[in-house]
Amino acid sequence: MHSDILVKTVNLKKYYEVRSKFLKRVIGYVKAVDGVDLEIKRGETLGLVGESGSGKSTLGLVLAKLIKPSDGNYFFNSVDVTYGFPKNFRGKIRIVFQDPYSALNPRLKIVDSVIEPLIVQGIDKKKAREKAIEYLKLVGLNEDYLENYPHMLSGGQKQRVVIARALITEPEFLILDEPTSMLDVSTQAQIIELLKKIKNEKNLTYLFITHNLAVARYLSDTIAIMFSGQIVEIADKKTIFSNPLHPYTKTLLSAYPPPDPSTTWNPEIPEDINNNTLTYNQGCRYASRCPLRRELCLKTSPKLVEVENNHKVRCHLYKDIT
Amino acid sequence: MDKLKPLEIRNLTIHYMVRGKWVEVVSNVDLDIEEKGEILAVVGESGCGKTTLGLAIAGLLPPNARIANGSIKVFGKDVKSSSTKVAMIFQDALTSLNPLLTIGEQIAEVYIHHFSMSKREALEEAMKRLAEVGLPTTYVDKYPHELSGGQRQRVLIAIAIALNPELIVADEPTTALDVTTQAKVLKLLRNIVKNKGIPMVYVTHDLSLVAHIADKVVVMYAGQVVEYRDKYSLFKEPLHPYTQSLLNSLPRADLDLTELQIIKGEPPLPGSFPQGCRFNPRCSKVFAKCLSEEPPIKFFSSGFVRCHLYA
Repeated sequence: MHSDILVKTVNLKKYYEVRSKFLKRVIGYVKAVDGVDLEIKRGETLGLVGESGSGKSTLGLVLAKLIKPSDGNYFFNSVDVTYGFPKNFRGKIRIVFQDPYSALNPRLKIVDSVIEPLIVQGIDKKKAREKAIEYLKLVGLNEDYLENYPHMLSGGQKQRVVIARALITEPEFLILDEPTSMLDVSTQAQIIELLKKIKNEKNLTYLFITHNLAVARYLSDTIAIMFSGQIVEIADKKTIFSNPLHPYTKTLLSAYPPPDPSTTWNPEIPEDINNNTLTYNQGCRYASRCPLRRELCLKTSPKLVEVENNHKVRCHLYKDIT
Repeated sequence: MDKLKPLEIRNLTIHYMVRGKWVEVVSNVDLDIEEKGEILAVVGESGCGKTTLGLAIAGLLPPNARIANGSIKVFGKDVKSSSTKVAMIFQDALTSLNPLLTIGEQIAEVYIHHFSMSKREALEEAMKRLAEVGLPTTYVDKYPHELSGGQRQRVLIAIAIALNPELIVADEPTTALDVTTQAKVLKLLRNIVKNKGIPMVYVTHDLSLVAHIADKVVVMYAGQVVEYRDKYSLFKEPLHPYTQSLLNSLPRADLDLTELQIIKGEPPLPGSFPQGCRFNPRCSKVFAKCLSEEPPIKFFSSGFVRCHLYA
């Protein structure tokens, strides 16, 4: 029963309680992820783009099963894995974090870090070691690194080790949370090309979380723009770049400087009239920054609607601004 | 009489003390800023010496560093003489600001110490600077933690211009910010520098920003300047193989690319720079001469390049 959709979320939410200093009463919620509906097809790369605080990493953690959602459902391979996780799915969802420096235990040898997920699954150490060699080779590191400690490796090499460790359980779904944002330009290119190669070889499905539109464009098939816990626009990458509809997407695109001085770069960034993430009005989350806001935007929250084939946008005004 | 250049670096070599040995971090750098209001971008990857160069220009080298050779002059005065007025803007605004002082006090400090103003006068000046960087004047009473990252970076710019500096050194001032905030802060910084005619050294690893903020660009690799060009020629026709590969390794948001160029290997660490051309182990156009001889500098009308291919 292989379905075309590998990952599906329905109205997924993650709220964090905010408590008062006195008596620790709940005085509000941070709605880090607030009603996300996503579908990721098998073999697809979904680029999840947003600014810091948009909830993109929280969504990644929920999908990696590292934190529990507050509400909603999460289906993996058509099985509801919102709360439990069937044993035969172990190791099928893995995550790679941004910071390779803190992702590896400084007191473990590279080989021990890489085989740890297998040891946890009860696999024999000798077998695990053979597999570690195979996977380190896959990410471009030879056997010499097995007995090294993380401090002997450069940032790019550490990230390769982290990727090998994620792949060793033979996952189907890999969540990549800004895997290149701490790396240099030349190392970034190496890791991006590596991820592309591995995806084709292993037939993986990626969720690529990033704030970098350029990297998202290069690696993704579909791009979802996240703002304040919600998906505000989602479409295949061609559409997002050629026909962005949401005002926030447009702002993001204009803020990106192309590496070419002959192009003009004169971003118009609207000022925020309200900078408090704790107060949610009933209206659109983006209304406080939106240059096109109207009465309606402050009163009712827009829904994510499909405006053309597979192009969804959460905005009251999309018809007027095309 | 010769017009004094805003910045003139000659044959600059900087060493760091690492485990009891002096290690060369910056080697024989020659650089100029010719005009007031010119923005010179220093580009390179981590460990290439760009930050050290920036610190040296601001006269802020740490105690375990020494200028082994050469000179840095700002409008004809040596930075070692401490009569130069160079302001520095750092990447991390939260650690650059004192969490226990209000924004106003931190800007006013400059006026109290450098211009012997009274506290009241100094705070009035501080409010003017805040307005200049687009923050409400009521922010004088706020503390750094009450501000967002972009606002803090604006405060740093306010402090930098308060000194009325002859030169500003900005070291990755927007790296920690979101793209939209980055765009706003950069626009502000560029406008201020251009309007006041303050020359600026802008240290960054981000080539996309350089294309829009700089006038001239210096590309550093392993402690050396490998290419120095005006930005239009650099992006149109990069000469050094390293510059070419760097530009081709950038993903683009405005274009669909099918492949990124990979520069194999990693940049060398200070103390273990290769013989001959320092880029030779990673260069795709390497030939015999590159392995044995240091490449000479070849001058063009648009700048210079350090590569055997053009000798």
